[in-house]
Amino acid sequence: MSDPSVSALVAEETATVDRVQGGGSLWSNAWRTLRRRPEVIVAALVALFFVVVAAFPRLFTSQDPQRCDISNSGIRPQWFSGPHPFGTDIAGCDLLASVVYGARPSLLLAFIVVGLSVLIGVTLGTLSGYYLGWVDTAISRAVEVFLVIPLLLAALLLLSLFRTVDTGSSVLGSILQPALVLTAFGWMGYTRYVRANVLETKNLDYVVAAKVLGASDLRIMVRHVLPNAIGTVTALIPTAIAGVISTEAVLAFLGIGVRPPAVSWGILISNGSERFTGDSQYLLLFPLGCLVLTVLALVVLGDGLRDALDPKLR
Amino acid sequence: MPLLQVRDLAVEFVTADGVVRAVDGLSYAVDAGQTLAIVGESGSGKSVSSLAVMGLLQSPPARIPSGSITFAGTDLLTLSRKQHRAFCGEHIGMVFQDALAALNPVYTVGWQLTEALRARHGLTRRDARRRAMELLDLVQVPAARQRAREYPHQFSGGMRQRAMIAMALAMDPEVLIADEPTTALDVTVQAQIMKLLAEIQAERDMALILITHDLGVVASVADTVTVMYAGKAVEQGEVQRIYSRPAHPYTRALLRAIPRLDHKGRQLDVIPGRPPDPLHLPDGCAFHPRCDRAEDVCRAAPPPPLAELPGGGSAACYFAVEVMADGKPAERAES
Amino acid sequence: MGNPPSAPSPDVVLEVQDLVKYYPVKRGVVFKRTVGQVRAVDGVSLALRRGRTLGLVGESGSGKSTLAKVLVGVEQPTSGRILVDGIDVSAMKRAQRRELRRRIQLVFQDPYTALNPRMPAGEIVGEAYAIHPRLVPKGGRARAVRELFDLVGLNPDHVNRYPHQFSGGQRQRLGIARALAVKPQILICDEPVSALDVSIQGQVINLLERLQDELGLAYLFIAHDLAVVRHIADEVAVMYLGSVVERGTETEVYEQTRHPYTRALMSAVPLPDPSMRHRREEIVLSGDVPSPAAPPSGCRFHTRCWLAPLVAGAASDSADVTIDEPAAVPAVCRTDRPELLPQGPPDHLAACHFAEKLTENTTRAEAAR
Repeated sequence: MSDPSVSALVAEETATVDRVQGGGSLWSNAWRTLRRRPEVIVAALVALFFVVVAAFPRLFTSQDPQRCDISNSGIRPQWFSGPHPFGTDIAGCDLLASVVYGARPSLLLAFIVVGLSVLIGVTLGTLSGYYLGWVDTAISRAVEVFLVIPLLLAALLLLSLFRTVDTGSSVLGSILQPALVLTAFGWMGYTRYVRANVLETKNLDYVVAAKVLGASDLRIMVRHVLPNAIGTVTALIPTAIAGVISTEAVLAFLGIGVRPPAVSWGILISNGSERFTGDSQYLLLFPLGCLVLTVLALVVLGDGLRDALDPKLR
Repeated sequence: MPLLQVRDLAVEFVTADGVVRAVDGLSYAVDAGQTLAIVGESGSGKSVSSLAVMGLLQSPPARIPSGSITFAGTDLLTLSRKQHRAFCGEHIGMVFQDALAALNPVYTVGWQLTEALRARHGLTRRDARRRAMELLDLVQVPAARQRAREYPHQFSGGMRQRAMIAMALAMDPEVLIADEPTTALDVTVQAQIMKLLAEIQAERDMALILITHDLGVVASVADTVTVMYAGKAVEQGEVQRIYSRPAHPYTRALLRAIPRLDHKGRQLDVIPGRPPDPLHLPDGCAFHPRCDRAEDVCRAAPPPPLAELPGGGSAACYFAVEVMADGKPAERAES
Repeated sequence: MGNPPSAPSPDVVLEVQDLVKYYPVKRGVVFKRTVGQVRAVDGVSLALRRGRTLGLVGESGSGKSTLAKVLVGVEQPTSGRILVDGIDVSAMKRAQRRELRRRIQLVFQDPYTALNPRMPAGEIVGEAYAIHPRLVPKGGRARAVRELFDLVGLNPDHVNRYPHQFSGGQRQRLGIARALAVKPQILICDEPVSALDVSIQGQVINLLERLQDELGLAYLFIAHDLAVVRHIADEVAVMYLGSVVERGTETEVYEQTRHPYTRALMSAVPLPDPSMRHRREEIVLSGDVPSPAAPPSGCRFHTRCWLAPLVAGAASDSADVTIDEPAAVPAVCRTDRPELLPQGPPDHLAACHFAEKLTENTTRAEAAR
């Protein structure tokens, strides 16, 4: 006699409780679950802090990361006692300013890549799972093709091929190429997730009911299938953003990430690591610390969100 | 002294929104060779009470603040959880509604049965296998030798239920608790399973506790009946009397509410409203908002404890004697 | 409309003629080949009358739920015709077909999966008007939804609540309200009360009966519970392995049963009356329903039939018959598929080679007690 049936019995007996008192929508229930987990709250605050840093860098530093004075080269962290709290790098650029201004390309890249990937993944996954047949065959094969190509190899190849193409010097321009490449190899997971969820959802009675009422395929997909198939995907997003931030660091380390003169955390880490063995560990530790903190916060947030949104995991 | 006696059992679940009293002061007793039916709707506490007997409640959230469960002189609630489980393994078997969830999907049915027999009786592999075949024959699984090599998902619903009964019987239980054993099955298969259970019970002089919402099944197998509502036993007694002269308005209403195969009436009598929210039970008698006999006392004062009725049985209602005298539930107005 | 009405009676709102639904069984990874057919529905003919209820009874695997899916247009029939008000649905163009389909709506078994958990109740019921905008003008929709809530016995102030805030019985009412929103003529009720508590079942059944009286709906009431079907149905059809084995009025099927399967089904229903214990005929069928992918030859029921051995001469005096040896079955049962033929009254049909023997044999068995 294994436990599942027992817990099912208890669930049945206590179901009335949930049913009657569980007021509010899915999201408000999710919020109630999240509120009881302090680590999720902390993680959310940390993530929010870095988003603010990226959006309003001027709030956190008065220095310009591009205006470097070689005579100030290699100043160690002064904290609150001087103009360079985090010190300066070898070219005399203020490290705090670099880290603060580096947040924007890093985070923006991550948001763009994940946003586009989710958009593509949700669209293709829904079509694939809903229509099956040749649509599904085509999309599933495409997913497999992209999955078997190693991301770093492809990124290395594509980004070094198009290294010479000028995309302008704005923030957007400097992250355009890595964004496109990372998106091209980032949509498959969502497609598979959404497809599996759609397959599960589309045979539920309420979807059948909409069909019987005469609803169009588009209406059924948008109103009935997607909202109930997308929950678990939403919860993947923070973790995915963390993943892109780290990948950007790897690309920068390989010299093919965000384009200079824009700074990103990846570039700072890449530069700092060259001097790590000397006495300038702080050049690596500050950007790396921000990266690790952001990634950790997002992973915890994603984990909490998944638990809160996925009724099966409760 | 009865074989299994439950006295004043209470089970609570601690939830985020408060404490739910799922079972409240339940008492019953069964003797060897007897069938007790526990009848109730979903949320009445009928399944939770049997899980408490088996020591299968997860704690937390469940807790048992009071009561005793005595099997042949041993109070199971004084045992540690582990001892409790071991004790039930030897004496009390259980059959669930969902046989597929109760059988391990990655082992063959024969293997599971053989292992259970070896663990329980210390048989050799060969003897255990022979005994397993005998058990599958006993529960009327055709071509037992062949079916034993199959996995639970290869069995049909009825066959799975038989396999689970065989698993329970492998322990040579003196009491078998069957929780909605036929609810998921077709009527013809349900009839097969109920017949099988009755035969095995008679043969082994086993006590059977049948937990169900199906008043038809109860009428055809039970000796005594406990009717539960909102965690409490509202009426207990011998099956003939309960069906012919119910003393609690809830029992009477339930009996009137079921459509019957043997006569056709256009309008069904219904019980208005719905089962109460266990977190917010109504004041007074929990059934009073749906009761056709309720008076001020039912709304204001807690219901009386189960009281003896003239001629045996008991009911927890101020008007039990009057309700009982009202006549047979079948004599309802027909259009 | 181009098609001449082929329904014999103007009362008939839905007619099903020789409906067949096979599902191919496919093997192979890249090149799929069909290795067999699951004969879910195998030649079913039925007629539904305005304001009347046809009960459809059968066990799992009998094809009754597949039939429901085909009728509401979720599945396409392999062959056969569906006539709504005498018009063949499959002969219609897309728009007309949609209009005809609208008249047939479905009530589900499980009130928990039948409602979109992320839509407020009012939107669930009102979605019909977004799909069929001409049913109710835009300004009147909110009121129409509230009226529907009222009609099915829900509080109209609860339109903004979500499904999980309703109890099982209330959800079933919501499902009914959603179906009624498109003003159907026919409701296919697929086990509408079997997931509900006993005390709630009666409320929903009474609601369905009241709605039928008020709106003149025709019901196809699918259930495995013969007592519920007897209660609500005017006519009854019994299905076994994809085909109808007996059909007739409620009284004919329940009181003058002419098919051994129907008789076995009824004897298997436990009566809520302990005094009847051991006093009624008990026929316990052996085994399970065979797979519709490999149905038995001849009469589909012959592998489990209790009458066949009696007819074949291997008679047992006990009515409590179980058979282990299919050898005792008459050859005709194993080779020829019986047709649905009138038994006495012209509208009481049964598909059994020995239908006329049924009455004799069982009275003998009953008398032996």
